[in-house]
Amino acid sequence: MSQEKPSVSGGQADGAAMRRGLRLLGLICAVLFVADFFVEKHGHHAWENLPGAYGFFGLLACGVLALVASLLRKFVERDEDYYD
Amino acid sequence: MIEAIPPGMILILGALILPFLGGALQRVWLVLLPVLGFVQLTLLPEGLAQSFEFFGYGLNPVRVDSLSLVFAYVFYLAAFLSVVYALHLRDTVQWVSGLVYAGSAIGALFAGDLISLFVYWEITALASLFQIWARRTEAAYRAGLRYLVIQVSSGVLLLAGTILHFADTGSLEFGALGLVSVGTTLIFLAFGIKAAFPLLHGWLEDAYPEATVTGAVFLSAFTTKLAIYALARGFAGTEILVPIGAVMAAFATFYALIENDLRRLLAYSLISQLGFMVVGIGVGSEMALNGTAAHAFASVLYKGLLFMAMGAVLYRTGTTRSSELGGLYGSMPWTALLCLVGSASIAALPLFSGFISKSMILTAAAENHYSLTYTVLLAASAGAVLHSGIRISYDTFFGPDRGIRCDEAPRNMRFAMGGAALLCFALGVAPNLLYELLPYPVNYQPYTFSHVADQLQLIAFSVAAAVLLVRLGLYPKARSARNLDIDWLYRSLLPGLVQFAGRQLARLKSAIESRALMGLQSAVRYVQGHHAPTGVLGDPWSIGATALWAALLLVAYLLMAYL
Amino acid sequence: MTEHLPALQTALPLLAAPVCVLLRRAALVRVFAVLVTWSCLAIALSLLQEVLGHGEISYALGGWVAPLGIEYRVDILNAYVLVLVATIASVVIAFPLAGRELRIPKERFFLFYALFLLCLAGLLGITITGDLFNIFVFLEISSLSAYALIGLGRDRRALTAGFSYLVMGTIGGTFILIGIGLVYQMTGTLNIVDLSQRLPPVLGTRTVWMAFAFLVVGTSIKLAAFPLHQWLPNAYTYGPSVVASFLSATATKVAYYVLVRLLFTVFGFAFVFERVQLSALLLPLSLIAMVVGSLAAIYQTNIKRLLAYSSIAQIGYMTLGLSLANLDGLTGGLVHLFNHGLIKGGLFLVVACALSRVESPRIESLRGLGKRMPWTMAAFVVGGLGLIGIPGTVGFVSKWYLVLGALDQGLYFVAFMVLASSLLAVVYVWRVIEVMYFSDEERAPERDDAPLSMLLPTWVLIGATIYFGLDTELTAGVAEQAAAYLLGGAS
Repeated sequence: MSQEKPSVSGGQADGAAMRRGLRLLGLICAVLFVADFFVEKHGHHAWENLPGAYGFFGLLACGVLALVASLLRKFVERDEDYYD
Repeated sequence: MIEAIPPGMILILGALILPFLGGALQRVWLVLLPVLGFVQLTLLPEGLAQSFEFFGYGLNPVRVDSLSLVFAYVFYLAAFLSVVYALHLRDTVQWVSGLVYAGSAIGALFAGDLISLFVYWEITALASLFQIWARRTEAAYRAGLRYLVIQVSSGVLLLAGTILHFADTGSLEFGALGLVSVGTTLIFLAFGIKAAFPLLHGWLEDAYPEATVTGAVFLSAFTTKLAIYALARGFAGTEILVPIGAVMAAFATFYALIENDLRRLLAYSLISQLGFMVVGIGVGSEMALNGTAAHAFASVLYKGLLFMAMGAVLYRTGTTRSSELGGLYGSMPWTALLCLVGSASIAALPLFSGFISKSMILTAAAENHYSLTYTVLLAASAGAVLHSGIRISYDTFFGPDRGIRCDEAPRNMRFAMGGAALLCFALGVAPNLLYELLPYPVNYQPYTFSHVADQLQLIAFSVAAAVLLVRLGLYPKARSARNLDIDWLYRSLLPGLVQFAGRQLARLKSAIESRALMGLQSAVRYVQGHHAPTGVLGDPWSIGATALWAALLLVAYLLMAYL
Repeated sequence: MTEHLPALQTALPLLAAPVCVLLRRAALVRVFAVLVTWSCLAIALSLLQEVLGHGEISYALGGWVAPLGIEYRVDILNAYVLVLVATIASVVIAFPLAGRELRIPKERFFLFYALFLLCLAGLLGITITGDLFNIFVFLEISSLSAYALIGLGRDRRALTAGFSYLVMGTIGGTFILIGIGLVYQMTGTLNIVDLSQRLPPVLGTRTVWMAFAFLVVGTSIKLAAFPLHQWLPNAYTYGPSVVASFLSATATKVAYYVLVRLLFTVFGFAFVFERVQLSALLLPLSLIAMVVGSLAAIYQTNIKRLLAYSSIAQIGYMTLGLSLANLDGLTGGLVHLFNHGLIKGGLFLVVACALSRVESPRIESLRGLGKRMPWTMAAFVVGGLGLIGIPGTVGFVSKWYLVLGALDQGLYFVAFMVLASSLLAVVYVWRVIEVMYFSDEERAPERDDAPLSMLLPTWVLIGATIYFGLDTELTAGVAEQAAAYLLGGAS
């Protein structure tokens, strides 16, 4: 829902708009999670059929990705003009 | 009549006329060429084959089938959008090389034999180089050289593989090859370089961000998708591609998350998207190959759109470093909006093109019981939401204002981005437009309740995760840095080793009066002494020597009688 | 009339040579010689067409039937060589003679044309005749006129070069004669077809073995196969460029033809490659020739000598194809015979063009000529690409077949060497290109290219290297047929 951002932050991010945007995001997540109980699933793996599985997977995956990426950064990060 | 011209040749030949035209005519011709090519394509009868004799072997430079056609359509769309995007330039070199590059990539799609493929393969390498060199900076020049070496190596591998393959089988046909011999393995590696397989991908993240504003748009469309096409044609169902693709999708995601230069971020994101397609080829089922072709089609458009948006930012502000950008929404509202369409597409938001193509590959992987790969790809999708969905748009247009004020992108750029965005949206709304072009009949419905619900959840919670991670300070912040990748091997380690070796040799020389070096010198002197005009082998004056040699050879032949 | 074409092929230039001396006037002689040579080309082409259409032609000279009389026998192999020789001759003879390269004054140019036609008659005769002794006779006709042609060079060293060519060539000729004598002693016949039937019963004898050795070494000298190449560099360097162009494209090629004919038709595949194991000696020598010739070319300071050493390397490719003794290899050798003839003939004509504007053939004196003579130097670049073997040029076609032939035999090392020696060619070609195009002189020289009358013949040959690099129907197609014909029944 990357499209959420423009509607709330306008030209520059200001505090109030930001808070409203985040509240909207929370609401959308909640609606989607609740709605998921009423959708008929036919995933290929058992876990996919649990309500909210994809939402949870998204949270988990992003967390892991960010952590691993930060770890990777420790090894590969150099000055910007490293090759010059 | 019109099908007598090999597809792609219209662009190549037309481009060569371009320098002789002037003024408005030149621009009209520039835009007209991809249109003409596209029209020709729609007139090509499927199953058409042109062949001619070369070396006594039948070569088959034109072979039309549905796999070639679907790639060719999107290549022409990309060529059209790219030239429109580049219309503001005053640089004939970039126009000509861009068209030749696009034309040869299209030609390669229709190559029915490996020799024709090789020829087009090398032309794409050479022509695309100028999209980098035209930046006319020292860094671009050096990156271009590295790019050239690797691209040409890919061609050399292809040729070597072709020769060995031909020696094995007597066939030059470019059909399903499979990893069955040394020859086909070399061909596989040649394709792998252009498809940016892990460890072979250094050229992509190295060179694309150094290309010109418009060059990166051209580059993002053709080279890698041509490699995907070639893999799909030659190595569909090759199991090893599944893990290769999964690794590509995963590692590039990590790099994309920590990259500061947004065009380099897009390069990594491109590798990650290629990983999906490579998995699709490896799975090899009809749905997987359909998915690969569809995803290639969609990703040419949305990746091109994102490169165009970042190009526009670079054009107006002079930088694409995330750490220096922010709050450009006010200055470039159109670019921001269109960039969001690209982000929505790559994040596979329903109603946008990524949604209808990416899931075909995922479904095919799951159906064929590649569960681990499925999970990795799903995580990479979530990662794409982070880096290409949120990061690109937010950091550039909506993040904290860094005080940059600039003009909106030039009109032609906005047109090109608008066209690409429209196509991304159209494909998302009417997936059958694309599905009808695919090589196999499509038995897949993207818009089911469960799929839409799952995908919306994945995206919404990924966005939420991003917010949480930022709040917790766990999200890798944008900061000025250069992240080492495989190109470090030849940009830093190799020169270092050479220098190190040089120093050691110098020490050796001074330490022990360098007997070894003297040996080497005397070897060089030996060669020179014998081959220079004053040497034995270079001196032709001796009649006696000839007589002696004649006698020796005579004896040698006679001796062979007794051996 | 048409049935006498084989006789006319040699008789026409042979009889035209003295007519040149009678006509004397340079302009007149030139037109006459051009007409005669072009007629020879027409005859050669119609012979090739005839052979391709209706198979071998046998012509009994003077009505005396073989084996008593002399038979002219045209099959696909020598029809192909005839076309090459006549084509090159037709182009070279049309090239205007430059006084500054010749030691004779303009009034005596008719001597050049007479010698040229004699040499042409000899080369065509060697190729067309079906009689071993006749080959020797024509070989001497062509060689003697070639020595004299070399001696026409303005540089005084041309005389020495011509003289050592004479001595070494005579050694070769004598060896061949001895070989022919021994064969005749054993079989009582000189007719090639006849020999191929009468030799097998006596193949085991020492005399035949001896004859084989003499014949192979003798033709190797004429062919300038390493290490018997030492007459070639000076002859090409100090002789006039047009002569070098003609001889490099024809004389060694005809010698190669004689070698192929001897090995495959006279002695037969089984004897040469299974009994004698010729490849054991010829293959390493070919590889050495490829490397040594190219290395030596790298170190030369004179462009004509550079091309001459490159020829030695290229002859190595041809003998390599021969010693691979399979279809692809032999096709490669035969097609390179044609292709190298075009390339080297063209390149020496480029030198002739250049020498119409600069004094010395030293590479250094070509500095900056890329701007001054753009068309001439562009021709050198294209020809040079052919020598290297870039795809799209004839050089690639030859190397393709050689590599295939080597791979077919499982000789990966040989295939590698063919490719590696191309890299050496890159070096020596690049050396010249660098001097021509990358001069550090500031002033842009006046554009002053060779006249069209020179550029046209040059570009005919250079253009052909591209044309036949793309359309291989005539060259590789015919060469492959010829190779299949030679190997027929053998493997």
